[in-house]
Amino acid sequence: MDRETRRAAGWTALILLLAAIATALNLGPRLAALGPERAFGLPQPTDLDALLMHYSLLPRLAAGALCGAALALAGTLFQQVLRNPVASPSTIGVEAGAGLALAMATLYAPTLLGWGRDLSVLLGAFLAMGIVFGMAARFRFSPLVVILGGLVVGFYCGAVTTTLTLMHEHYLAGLLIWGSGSLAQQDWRIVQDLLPRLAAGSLLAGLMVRPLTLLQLDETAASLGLRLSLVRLGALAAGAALTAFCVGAVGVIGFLGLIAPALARAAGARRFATRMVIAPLIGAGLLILTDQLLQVLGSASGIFLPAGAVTAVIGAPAMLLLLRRMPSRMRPPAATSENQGRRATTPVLAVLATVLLGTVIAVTIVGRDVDGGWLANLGAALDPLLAWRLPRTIGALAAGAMLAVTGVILQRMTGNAMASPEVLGVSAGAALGLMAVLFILPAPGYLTQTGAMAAGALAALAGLLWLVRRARLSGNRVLLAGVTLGAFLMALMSLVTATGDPRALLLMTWMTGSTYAVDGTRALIAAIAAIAALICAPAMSRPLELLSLSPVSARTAGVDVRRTQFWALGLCAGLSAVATLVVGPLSFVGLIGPHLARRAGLARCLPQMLGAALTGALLMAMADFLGRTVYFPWQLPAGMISALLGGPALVLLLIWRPKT
Amino acid sequence: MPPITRRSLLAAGLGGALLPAVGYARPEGPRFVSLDHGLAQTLIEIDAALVGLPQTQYWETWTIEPPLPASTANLGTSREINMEVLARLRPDLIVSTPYLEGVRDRMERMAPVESFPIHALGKSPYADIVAATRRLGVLADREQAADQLIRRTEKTLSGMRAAVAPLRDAPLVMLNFIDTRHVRIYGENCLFQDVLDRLNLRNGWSRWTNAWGFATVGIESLADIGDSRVFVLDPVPSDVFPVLSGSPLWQNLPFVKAGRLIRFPTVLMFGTLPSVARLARLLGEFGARHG
Repeated sequence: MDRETRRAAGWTALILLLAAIATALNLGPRLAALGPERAFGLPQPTDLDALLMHYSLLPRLAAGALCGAALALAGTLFQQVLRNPVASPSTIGVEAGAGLALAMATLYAPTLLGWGRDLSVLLGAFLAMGIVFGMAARFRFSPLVVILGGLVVGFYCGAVTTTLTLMHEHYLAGLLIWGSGSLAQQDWRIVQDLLPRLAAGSLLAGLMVRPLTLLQLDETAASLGLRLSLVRLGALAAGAALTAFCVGAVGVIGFLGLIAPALARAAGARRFATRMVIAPLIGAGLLILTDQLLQVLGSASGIFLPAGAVTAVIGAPAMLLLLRRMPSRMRPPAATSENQGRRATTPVLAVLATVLLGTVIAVTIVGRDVDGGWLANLGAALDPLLAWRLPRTIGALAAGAMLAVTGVILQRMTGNAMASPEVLGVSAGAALGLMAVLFILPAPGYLTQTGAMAAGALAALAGLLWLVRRARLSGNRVLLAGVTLGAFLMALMSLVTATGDPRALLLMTWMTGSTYAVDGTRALIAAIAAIAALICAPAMSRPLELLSLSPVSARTAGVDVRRTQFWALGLCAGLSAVATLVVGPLSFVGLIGPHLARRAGLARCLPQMLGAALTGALLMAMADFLGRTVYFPWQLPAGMISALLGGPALVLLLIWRPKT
Repeated sequence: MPPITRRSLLAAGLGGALLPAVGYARPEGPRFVSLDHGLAQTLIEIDAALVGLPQTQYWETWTIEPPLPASTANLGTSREINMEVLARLRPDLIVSTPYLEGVRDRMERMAPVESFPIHALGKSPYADIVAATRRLGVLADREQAADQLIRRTEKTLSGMRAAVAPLRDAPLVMLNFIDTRHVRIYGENCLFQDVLDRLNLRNGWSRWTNAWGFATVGIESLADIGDSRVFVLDPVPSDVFPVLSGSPLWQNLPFVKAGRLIRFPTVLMFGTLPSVARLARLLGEFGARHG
């Protein structure tokens, strides 16, 4: 055993020791009272304490060990294949895809058990991973694109799951618990099912240790005749399968697959083969440690906290530390280089504006009656309704336009096709502010809620600008930091909702992007901000255009790159804060709008901004109308509908491009 | 032609001249919109005019009593009341809970809003329910009916005390299944606890519950409740009993082995006096059958 391995083994032993102490703290007194025979032998049907030990506490311990190890193994595999220290089941979309599939299975086939259920979860995991890689393939699996794409797909799946959950109140509590990964067990069946599945996955992973090690040296591996793509594919499939089985068995254990391999690396395990052994041990130790301590806490206070949500709350911030380790050779995907399909801009913009105008008139007039019948309200009948419809429509229009303009600025500035305000973290800041005030004050009114959201957004904004200034993070790393804040928010949400607190539902509703809370004042503020943004846009467009060509050419043209970045980020943060207050943090309009505009032939910066603003406004206005009417009298969140409509379109745009 | 019912005959005979243009009998007085099922229970019971309520489609699943008047308009989800429908209903008064304070100012543009903090206060809700009943009586101009409801409920409670006597031999636990591994169990701060106290029944779950009066726990925690009678409230997710029937732990829990697991009709846990009476009556009927 060399020095490096000894050091890593030492740290691993320490974590396992801590897990053992926590287990002793939780199970020790019971075990002592039972004695070895009653504790570990087959219990008498009348011996309730022994039954509890044998069929609940011990299988729970085993489930923690298995899932912890499997997720850590999956994370190690992903990191090796993608050569990306931040890859993990939670950061490349696999876990969220599995979670969404599980929610759908629970809702639409509740009696589906065993393999049927496993297969549906597997399918979800593979689909999500396939989409992420489909988008990343074009960028040669740049670590940054994989993570950004993975987290965005993760948010997307999470938003769909949330909407499904809110629409099926009967299953609400159950779905929320699955989403936050509880390890509670009533017999050995879950463990028995999990064991062969995970063993097969681990065996597959073990067989690939050698080829995967060689993978680090591309040329060597190729000259040895390795089928590189086959090895990669196999390892990714093994990782996704391990994740899916865990999600299917106990729910989402967030970020464990990220922390454990990272700790293994930090403990000094540099070689891949070492990490493949040490990371699973650390993962098992960490999950046991968390779950046992939560059991102690639970029996002392009665408060139920699922382990999966707790690991996510701890793990998401850990990502911030890992960001510094991202390889610096990253080449972000060029978002603006190609000029294909460029058209005369004025006619395109004119058509977009006309369509937008027509849509706004239509959605203002059409509505539904108390009994559900469709009707077009005109004249006097429309007047009392305008007070409700207009603010929502104006708010949606303004928010859509602002988010889309922000998206253009961010994509141009970072040169990253996946950049958007949704991943900037400002919306997450607003949501955290709302969460804080909902849970601290007994009955916060509208003004308090708005103020808290604005404060949260501002705090996130300040943090972002600080990162740019002090920590000298470049545009793309700022985005990753923002996404991390979003992931932290999601983790906190699932922790709160798992306790069954009804207030969490209000927050969930807002998170799905409802325009419901928009009133006259809010709409007015949004409209003013949107107009201001469109006035500022031309001033920004020249330096941005130069910057998106290359920082060097921008500098030679006399652009102060740092200053431009600073102000552009500030503008983006401000705009997305106002927009988030209106349509929630997950509309994806800021990601979709710029791409649609460019596909419409608006290649230069200013036309793209205007086109994106029109497209974004159109998308949000239609989403708001659909949300208000299709499921009447229930309302579907506009942000969610725009994501549902635009998300698949965006994936298609990013994966398939016209041949030039 | 609509079927001739006793109610329509009565309405035609007695109130022909007073009937509003709608064409069918409606209780008179201010037209209420309730944003909460619990408050709606009381309004219906005191014969106030209830014109709108959110998620009416869940009434039959969770609230059940008293029957919801068919004329009550559906306002969508309770988290996002459909403002357009609300505006079209032109209510005289909106009653709500602190849960919806965030949209209060906008609702106040349509009608006065009165908010009733009853549940989630971290204390027994009974006194607040009685106070809310009186206040709703005043608002609806049905003070007598409200007093009668309070007296009627007290009478039901005292009347059932004898009927539930056979249930006093063991503590009693009320719970909902969330999924195959977790239950929501009711205790301190819950309306159910108030009913049990007034019927001199003992709750088998004395551990912590949240401000709403329930705790989310794993099924293994049910080992602590010994041989209590366990009332499993409807609805139960369809996979729960098939999965649990294969669990040795579940099969050997004292109350399962003793056959003291009872599927029980649901009672609105965040309800008002009609919920109190319903639970007391259902327990009384159960006690009489199994005495």
